[in-house]
Order: sequence, then structure tokens, then C-alpha cells
Amino acid sequence: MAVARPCGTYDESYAKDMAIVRTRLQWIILVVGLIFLLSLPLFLGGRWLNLLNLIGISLIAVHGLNILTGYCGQISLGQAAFMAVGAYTSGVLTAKLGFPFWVALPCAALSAGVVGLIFGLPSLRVKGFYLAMATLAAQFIIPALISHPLEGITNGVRSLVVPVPKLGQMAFTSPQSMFYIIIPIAVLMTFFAKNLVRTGVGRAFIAIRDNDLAAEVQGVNVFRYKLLAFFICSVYAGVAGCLWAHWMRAINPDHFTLMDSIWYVGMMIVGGMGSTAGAVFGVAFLRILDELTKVGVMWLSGIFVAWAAFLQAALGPIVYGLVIILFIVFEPRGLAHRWEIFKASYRLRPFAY
Amino acid sequence: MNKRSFSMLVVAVVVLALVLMPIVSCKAPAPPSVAKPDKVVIHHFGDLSGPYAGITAPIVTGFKDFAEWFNTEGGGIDGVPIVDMFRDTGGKLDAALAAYAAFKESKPYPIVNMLYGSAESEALRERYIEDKIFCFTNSPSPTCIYPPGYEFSTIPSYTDSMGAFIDWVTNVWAKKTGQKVKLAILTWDSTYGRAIMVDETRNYAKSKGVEIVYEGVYGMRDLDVSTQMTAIKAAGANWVYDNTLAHGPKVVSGAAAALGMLNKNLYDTTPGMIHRATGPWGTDESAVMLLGDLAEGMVGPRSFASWSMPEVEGIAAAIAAADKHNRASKERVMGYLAAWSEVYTICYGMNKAVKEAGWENLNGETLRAQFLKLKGFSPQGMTKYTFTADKPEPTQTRILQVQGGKLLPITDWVTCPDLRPAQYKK
Repeated sequence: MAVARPCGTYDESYAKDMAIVRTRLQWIILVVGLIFLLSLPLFLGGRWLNLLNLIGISLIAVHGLNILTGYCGQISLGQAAFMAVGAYTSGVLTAKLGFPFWVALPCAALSAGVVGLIFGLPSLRVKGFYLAMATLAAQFIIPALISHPLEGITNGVRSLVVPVPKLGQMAFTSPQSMFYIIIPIAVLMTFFAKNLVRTGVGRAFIAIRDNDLAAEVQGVNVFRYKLLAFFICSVYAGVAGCLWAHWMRAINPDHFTLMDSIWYVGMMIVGGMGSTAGAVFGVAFLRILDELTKVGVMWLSGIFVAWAAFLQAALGPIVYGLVIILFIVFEPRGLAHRWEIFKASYRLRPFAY
Repeated sequence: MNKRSFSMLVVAVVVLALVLMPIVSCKAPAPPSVAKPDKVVIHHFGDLSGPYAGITAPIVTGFKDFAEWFNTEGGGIDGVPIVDMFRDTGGKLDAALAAYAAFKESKPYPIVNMLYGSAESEALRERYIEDKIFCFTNSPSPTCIYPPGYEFSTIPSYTDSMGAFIDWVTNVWAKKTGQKVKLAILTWDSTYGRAIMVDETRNYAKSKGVEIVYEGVYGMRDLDVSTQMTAIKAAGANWVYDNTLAHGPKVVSGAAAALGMLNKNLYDTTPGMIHRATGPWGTDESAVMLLGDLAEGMVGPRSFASWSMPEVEGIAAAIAAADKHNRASKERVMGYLAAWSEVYTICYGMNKAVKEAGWENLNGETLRAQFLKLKGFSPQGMTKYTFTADKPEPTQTRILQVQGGKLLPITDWVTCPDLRPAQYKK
């Protein structure tokens, strides 16, 4: 879909054409939105802040996946495993070696990035489903390494207790305080993802996704950029894993399952692949839907007491699954596409097209 | 957005976060209730829509039936009825954390919580300590309960339970048959399953003259372990022990039966045949039902009475309650009885705390103190609870055996060997 500018907005330079935030109104919305977002703990209870924290962590992981799959066209089914690398790196550094969280965080990102590079190596030779199978290997190899050969440092199948982050004397123990670590990082990584795709690197990713042979003919070093995409994707996963570990305070290989990796892909598809806003929409939609079905089921269980057991056990997953199926059928291009239609219709109003 | 704008945005986000964070963190905690309430809510979370749903469902049923029985026949807590509040986690940790956040915000401030899974018990451990909320967990994972805090285990740890089995198999079985115990460990490849594959159990087995000839794992969804059983046979094992539940024991027994190795006669020592033992959650009526004829002869440590012991006061009451509500056979399993005895114990502790210090002082801290006073406490004869400040897990169990489709004790109450991780022993 062609990008429609608001009336009276002209791109007079390349910088303006590429700007993420173009107009005064967009700046105002951004600043007010950020203030609103960061002041949410003043109004919301722990339950909803927990949900926002979860959305923040998932968002970081899905942004990484979106850069790899949505922009560079390389499928990965190992995102949860790369999160495990970040989680365990940070967990071991803080719990066993006494590193502060703020040092462990970049180390976690870097270690996950390096591991992602290794699992990205097959991308030179294989594509599509074959690459998916190659990255699937990460989902088996990494938890197995954590559980067995590295048991001495990771605690293996016994959970590793991870300390809470600290800033001076302040310990980040509550959902409110963790919100101020997770959400700013999620916001900044969202901007980084948005910024990345308009750089030369981002354009190279898109060229590879659209036609890797054509990209190579044009001088794009396909192997280098594919590996770079894997590295960036895994760095995002590492950050998400690190935040997960310090938010949960205990980590175990069972936390990072293939099912989680698949859900991250699902979030990306529901939101719309190849769109930063799509990742935000997809994560928020599925996480909030999950929470709302739980609330709905509890409410219905109170009304239909005789069916409470059935409702609690089955209704949530059924509703959740049905909504996703219907959504995929009626909006296969994702929520981001719906958002673009909405924006275009707003800008072109009163014209239909 | 150019570089300068982006940098400004980064600074703005960080500054705003730093300004707002202390304001939010200074929110006052919810004050405890002081007046006698019209009901006492006991919260519990568990997996009712995920992989452990089959285990959790009878626990939830048992909890509800006990609550009704306790409110009508047990007199409530100082006359106040109890109400259960269950939250489904689907076996997901983030859902457990969300459930905890909602639970913590409930009014009046919560006193006690019950948990059924290891992952959530481990993740919430420190939060219970910070929030001074007592937790009675069905997971005796060392990470949950050590160093001792506000989480107490409802059953002896998996290592202690296996230790009790090792004691029995060496003191009774080996002496009666004159055979050396050659033990194979074949268990689930999960935190729960692998909890017994630790140096504490290996060293204890060795000290008792038990030779561990094989250690292996299988996936929770694996339905065939013939390869592992063939290796076990080649290793010359005469016992196989698993720490699984539900369909887990059936997978092991099914493979043993298919290979012609299954020994149902406890004291038979035919070479190449194997006896089976399972962990405390596998010694369950639901596993026996799934196993059918294959269950015969299987043994295991279990700290709760079974449905086949109607002479036990709590079992008689549970049978009457289950009959009254027409509970299906799939609900008449160990989970139901576990919930019954655990909630009974919580109510007992609350009653004592109220009598000693009044409603105004009933909180997680005083309930924890009451639990530390439990020495050999037997809730209606269902189990035995002894807790100490350095060991917040029960210490006694019994060995049960499947005889004619019934789970019956073949030992009296025995004290489990102390096989907790060395760093937590005084």
C-alpha cells in the first residue's frame, strides 16, 4: 500500500522522506504516549502491570524475529532457545559470579547473538522449511546443553535462582519497579528496530527477502547480511531472555520451549510480518486476548457453577484458538495492514480512495 | 527522526522512568484485615487447561468437596466458612505470575496460597518471603523450599521419598530374597522427573549396597521406552524406579510387559525379570487405573492414605463427600485426597492462630509459625506432617503396593532419610 501523507506534508529532503516521526502532531502523540505509558504504574494494579511486562518482553523477542523473518526472509523456530541463552548468561553472571544486572544485560545480548550466528550458518545453504528445520535444532540442542553438559554452572534441570536487579539501594522486586526496566528497554528496542529497517542494512535485508539472487547481483553480500540478521535477532532474544530471568527470578530449561518459539512466530504473523508496528500489534493482541479469555472464563464460572470445571479447563483455549483462526482467515496480512487502511482512510477522508 | 532526536528520545525515556519509578515504588502495601471476616478465602493456582490438567482437576474437586464438608461438619475456622479461589495457569509461568499479582491484590490481604507445580513454586518463592504470605506447595523441589522461607512442601522431597524406597528395598526385599538390588532409574526428562538423578540419591543408594546399573530418561510425551528397557535388561537390573505420574508408570510397565520382563510377584527373583517402583505422585490411583492389570505388584512411596483404606477417618469422610457429589472414578484419585488433607491442615493452623492471637493477628507469618509447631500432625489420619525451621517438608511416608487393583501399605510410617542438598543441611 502506498504511504499517504497527511495533507500539507511534503517530503522536501531525503531525511524528511525517511524520518520516523515527520509531523508536529506525531511528535506530540509520541511524547504524550510515552508519558502516558510510563505513568501507567500510577493507575494500574500489579496484575495488569505484569501483563504489560510480559508484553514488553515478548515484544522484544518478536521484534528480533521480525527483523530476521519479516525483513530478511529467514525463518527461525529457535527464538525461545536464544532467549534461554540470554537468560542463562545473565542468570549465571549475576547469581554465581556476582555481576550487576546492568553488566549482565549486554553480556546476555552478546552471548545470544553469537549463538544465533552459529545457528544462522546453515542459512547460506538452505532456505524456507529447510532453514526452519535447521533453526529448530537450536530448540533441542540449547536446552540439552543447559540441562546436561553445562549442569555445573547452570544448575541443569534444577532451577537457577536469579537475583533481582538493583540500582544503588533500590531493588526491583515489584511489578511496578520491573515495569521501569522492561518497558523503557522495549520502547528503545522498538525504535532501534524501526530505525534499522530504513538504513542500508535494512534495505539489504529487504532485498535478500524479496530475491536473494537479485540482491547478490546488485552487490549485497548475502551471507554476511543473513548472518547479521541472525545476530540481531538473537541479540533481541538475549535481551528478552535476560529480562525474563530477572522478572521470573528462577529459570529452568523447561521455560523455553518449542511452543514458545512457535507462539512468537504466531504473534509476528497475526501482527503482520515485515512491520515494526505489526510486532507491537501482534504481541499486544495475543497477550491481551489470552488474559481476557481467562478473566471471561472466571466470570462465566461464577455464573454457571455446575459447568465451572469444564469452563475453566476448556473454554479459554477454545476461544483463544477460534479467535486466532478467524483472524487469520479474515485478515491474513495482519493487524498492521488493518492499521495502514485505517490511517489511509483517515488521511484521504472524505474520499474513499 | 535524526540522530539528535533519537538521542533526545532515549534520554527522555530514561529520565521519565527514573522520575516515576520511586513515586510508584512508594505505594503503601495493603493493610491486613482486623475484623472477623464473613469468609476466609484460600487461593490456589494450577494447570487446568495445560499438560498437567489431569493432575490438577481432582485436586480442585477435592478442595471444593473439603470446603463444603468443613463448613458444614468441621465448624469452619472459628465459625467462619472457607471459600476456595482457583486460578488456571495453563502450566505457563507468566500466567502463574499474573495469577500471583491478582491474588496479592485481593482484599483482604491474602494469608495463604496453595501451588501444584514446581516451576511456579520456584518462581514465586522469593515473592512469598517479601510479601509474608504462606504457601503450601505440592512441589518439594529444593529450589522452592531451601533455604527455608514461606513455602512448605506437602510431601517429602522426591529424593527423600526415593531414599525411603531404597531403605525398604534393602531392609525388606533384599533380605527376604537374598538378592542384591540392581536398580535402574528411568524417568521423565523434566525438572520433576530428573529431581531424583542427583548425587544425594546415588550416594545413598551406594551406602545401602544398592547398585545403580542404569540411568536414563524419556520424554513426557513418549509412549514407548522399549529401547531403554532393553538396555536396562542388558544391565542386569532387577528394579526400575521412575519419578513420573499419570501415564508415566504405564509407559515403563508397558515396555517391560512387551519385552516379557514384567515381574508382578514382589518376591520372585527370576533372572531377566524386573520389579517396578514409582515416585510419590506416581503411586496414585489414576496411574493404577491407567495401568490396569499391569499395575499389579508395583510399589512406591506415598505419604497420603489411599482410597482403599476406608478405616482412615479422612478417607471415610472423603468417600462420603465424593459419593454425595457423584464423583467419577477419575476424580477419586490421590489429588483429591491430597487437597483434602492439605486444606484440612491449613484450616487447623488458621484455627490455632486465631485462638492464640485473634483474627487481627491472622496472617501469613502467624500461619507459618503454626506450621512450624506441627510435629507428627495427622489430618484425619491421611498423612503425617512434621515441619522444622530448617526442614519445611514432611519427613514421613509409607511404601504402598498395588494388590488386586488397590493401593495398600506394605510398611508402617517410616522416616525418610534426609537427602536434601548438602548445602542446606546444618
